[in-house]
Amino acid sequence: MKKRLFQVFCVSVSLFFSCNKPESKLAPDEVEGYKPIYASRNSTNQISQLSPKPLKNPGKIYVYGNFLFVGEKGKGVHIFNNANPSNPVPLSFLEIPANSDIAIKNDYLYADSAGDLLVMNISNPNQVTLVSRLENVIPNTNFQVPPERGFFECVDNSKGIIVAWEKTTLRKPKCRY
Amino acid sequence: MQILMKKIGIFLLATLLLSACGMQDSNMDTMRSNNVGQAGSLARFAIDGNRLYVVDKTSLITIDISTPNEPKKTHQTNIGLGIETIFPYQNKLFIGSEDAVYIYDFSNPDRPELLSRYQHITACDPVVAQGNYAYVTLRSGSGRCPRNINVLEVLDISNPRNPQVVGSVNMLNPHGLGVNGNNLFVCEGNFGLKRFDISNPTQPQQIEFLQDIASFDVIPRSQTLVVTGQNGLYQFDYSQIPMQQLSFISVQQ
Repeated sequence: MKKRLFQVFCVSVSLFFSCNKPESKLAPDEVEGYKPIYASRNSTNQISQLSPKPLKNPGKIYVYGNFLFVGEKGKGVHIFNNANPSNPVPLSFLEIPANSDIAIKNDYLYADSAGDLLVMNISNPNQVTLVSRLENVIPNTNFQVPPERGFFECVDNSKGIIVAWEKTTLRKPKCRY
Repeated sequence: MQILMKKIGIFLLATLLLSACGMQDSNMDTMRSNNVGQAGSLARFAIDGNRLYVVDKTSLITIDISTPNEPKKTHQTNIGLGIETIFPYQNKLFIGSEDAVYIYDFSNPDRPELLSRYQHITACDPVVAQGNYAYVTLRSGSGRCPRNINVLEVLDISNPRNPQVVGSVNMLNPHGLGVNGNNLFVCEGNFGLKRFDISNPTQPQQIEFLQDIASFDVIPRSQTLVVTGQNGLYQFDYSQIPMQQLSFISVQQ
């Protein structure tokens, strides 16, 4: 705990100097910030391939052969047949909880999911199968800290794993970075 | 016997290196499509050979994927704070963070070696590389230090242990970027998408600015460009000037 406090202190100090803009270290009564959205570990073990759905919050992109993958941050990946770039055809939506990135080699798709690494066989893109899971291999993902610096609601690991952050009004938040 | 083994090893290594160079020159797109895919510049995953390299907020993680059914973590090294992107190029990893560009050599795949750290005083975003040059976008944004710096920088990386800034172009709000041959594409967020001619690699010349195309990241393939942005996903044919829009998939409003 002391170490953690020290880290927070260091980050605050470096922010103070790099920004040349002193900010009060006391938590305000009400402030804009982020709170974590939790899911139970169990529900993150599910990988499902759904029928195509509309893009909502397109994130990272990946091209593999005639296929195009578009990430929906935290939710999964849209798969398109892109043999004709003038007419990409949506194939499916691969639901991967707390996902941010993918990479593909030899028809195996690697994806992160809340700190785990998943490997999926995509040789039949209409029937993607999960072949392995390496647990807790990516310790410090985007999901453990809010997307922007500032105040946030402190993380309570007993509530599950974090799958997203929601911007909201916080009352006397104790955490910031 | 040992010497013989060593010689064979060196020969194999040399053959591998030569064939790798050959691929870089002629067949890069085929290799990409058949074997390993191509990511945008904002990626945190990069595959090279039998290794998957992952950056999280603070560290670089190496995973052996020679047997996809049994991936194994072989290495993890602490890099710094605010790590954002990874770009593999010619046995090197270019890692973008909030305040620096790190160059790692992974000739020994399970022991990536830090060659240099090129530090900025402000937000530093993705980095891509081609030939002797790396291109980096720096953006001042919300939640970060309020310095007003929005720049595309060109780094000479011919000595990766000592990268030097050799060019810079003022930008509006640069995000992801991509390079292919003489073309450099830079996403300007909601301001649009820019195309530069980099036949002189240190002095990018803007040749197109598509202000209607809100963009975060790009993948330049050999002739077509994939663009993602707040409004959706675009594809262009950039074999001509101006580039021609091929398709658009809109986000659901």
